[in-house]
Amino acid sequence: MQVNFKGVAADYQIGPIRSKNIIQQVNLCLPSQSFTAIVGHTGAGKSSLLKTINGLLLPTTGTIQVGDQTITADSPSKAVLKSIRQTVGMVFQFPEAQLFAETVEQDICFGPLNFGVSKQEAKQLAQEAIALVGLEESILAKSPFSLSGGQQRRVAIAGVLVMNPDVLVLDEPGAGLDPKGKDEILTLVKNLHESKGITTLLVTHEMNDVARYADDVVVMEHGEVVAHKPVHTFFDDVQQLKSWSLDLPEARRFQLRIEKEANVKLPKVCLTIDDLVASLIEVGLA
Amino acid sequence: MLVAEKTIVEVDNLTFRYDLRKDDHTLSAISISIKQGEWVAIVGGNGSGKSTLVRLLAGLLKAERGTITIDGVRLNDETKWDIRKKIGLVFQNPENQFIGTTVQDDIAFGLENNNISYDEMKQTVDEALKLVGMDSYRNQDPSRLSGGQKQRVAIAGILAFKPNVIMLDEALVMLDPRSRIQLLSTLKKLREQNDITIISVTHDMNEAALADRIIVMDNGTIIQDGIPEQIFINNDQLSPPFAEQLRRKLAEKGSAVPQSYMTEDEMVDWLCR
Repeated sequence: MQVNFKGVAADYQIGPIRSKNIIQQVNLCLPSQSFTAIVGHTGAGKSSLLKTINGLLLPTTGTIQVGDQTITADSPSKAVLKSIRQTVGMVFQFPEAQLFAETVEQDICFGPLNFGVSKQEAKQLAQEAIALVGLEESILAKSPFSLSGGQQRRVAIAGVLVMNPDVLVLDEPGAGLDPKGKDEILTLVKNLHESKGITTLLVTHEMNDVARYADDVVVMEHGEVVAHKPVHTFFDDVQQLKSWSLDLPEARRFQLRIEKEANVKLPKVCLTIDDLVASLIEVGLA
Repeated sequence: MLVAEKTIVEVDNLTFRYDLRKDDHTLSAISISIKQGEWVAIVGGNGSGKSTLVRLLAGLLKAERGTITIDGVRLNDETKWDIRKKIGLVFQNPENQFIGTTVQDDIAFGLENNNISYDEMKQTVDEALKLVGMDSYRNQDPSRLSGGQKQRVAIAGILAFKPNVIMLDEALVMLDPRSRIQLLSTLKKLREQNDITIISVTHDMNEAALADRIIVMDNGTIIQDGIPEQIFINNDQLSPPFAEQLRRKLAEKGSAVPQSYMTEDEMVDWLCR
């Protein structure tokens, strides 16, 4: 499912106080079945942009199109929001903070039940969702609060996947997990993206993950989208990255250092350690 | 070396479990001694007991057995209030700890509770905000900040206290790499100027590799304790810093790389030989 931002601006209003625009003039088209990483410094508007996709933050100007539904500045109808929220799955920062039910099963079933699925069917869906995130079915009967942080994160993600979203939005899903847990979560997201054709949007600071999982990159700065490029082109232009003060993936950074100090040119832009190993052997350095 | 010989944190035979009805201990008989001015990284998988350990050190949880001594004072119910002036803990998710309606109020809250005079408080809040680069956000609502900005405010709240020991429980995870490097170098500077001890719980092995010492925890016990080189060469469970990963991959492919741990500079030298 395609997501299309046209001239979107948004801010947070608390009573009479308006913050300055958190998002301004965003024009961005995320094609159906794409995997896009959003990067940018803290406070660049990444999380806020995500919130506009399902109407948690409404635009002050512009429109957001999700599939054939449109969110506009003047308060959209409940029917539109409901339909969008059914198709867009949101995994927020520290999603385990929103676990609330007595058992994992109840927690995962909460979404489907709210959208009118029968209890029997919801339970069936919960079983499928828990398997998707790589947990044992026996965990369904446990309290979510008795689980470890990594398990809680997975349960929270299962609660989103159970809705069978066409668009999946993840805001730093790996934060706070150990490296193994993080790789597992992101591999899971990547596999779902590939097998179900889910349009995926990932906010992260970790350029290694961008290089490893995403196909395209969106850069945000001061509430604006300043670039939207395929991953390889993006990491090729080092000067441009410097001007945004963005990091390079470890492999790419190391490649540039070696190219400079050994005065060689490696055959391709290395985004992963395996690329780098192959290139180093190819040019005879290692 | 800046590391003084005075012991600031002494943990002896510390044992803890959350549920006394069950036998599985979250921490079993842990002993550590940390010197003043040391930078210690605590690493290990989710559920290995890292966060429990720092919460015990801050007196937020009570040990079942064993003792904690901070700066010569045994931690117990009577002393914990004084000890908390010396040891500050920054949590992973600061969302749950903001109480002020503005950033500066939030940082002042702890100081107010300790009867700091208004003028001194004002100056301290200023300094702390500048250290973490959040000066221009002082009048904003902390709950409306981005994830990384919140973490910086939480760190400023602890810095304002000028503690002898700062504990970071994954407190830098939401920061972009540039801010993370800035904050780490700010903390380093503070350590050099004021002889602060830093205990950082982290999953970032590049960050851990910068510490004086790494403690590896697994299943409630300490399985390794030493300088970064030793730790990474002896532990194949931990994913090592990039250069060492590269060395191992090259070795797998039959390249004639040296057999011992390599830092990035050593790897570059070897490749450019």
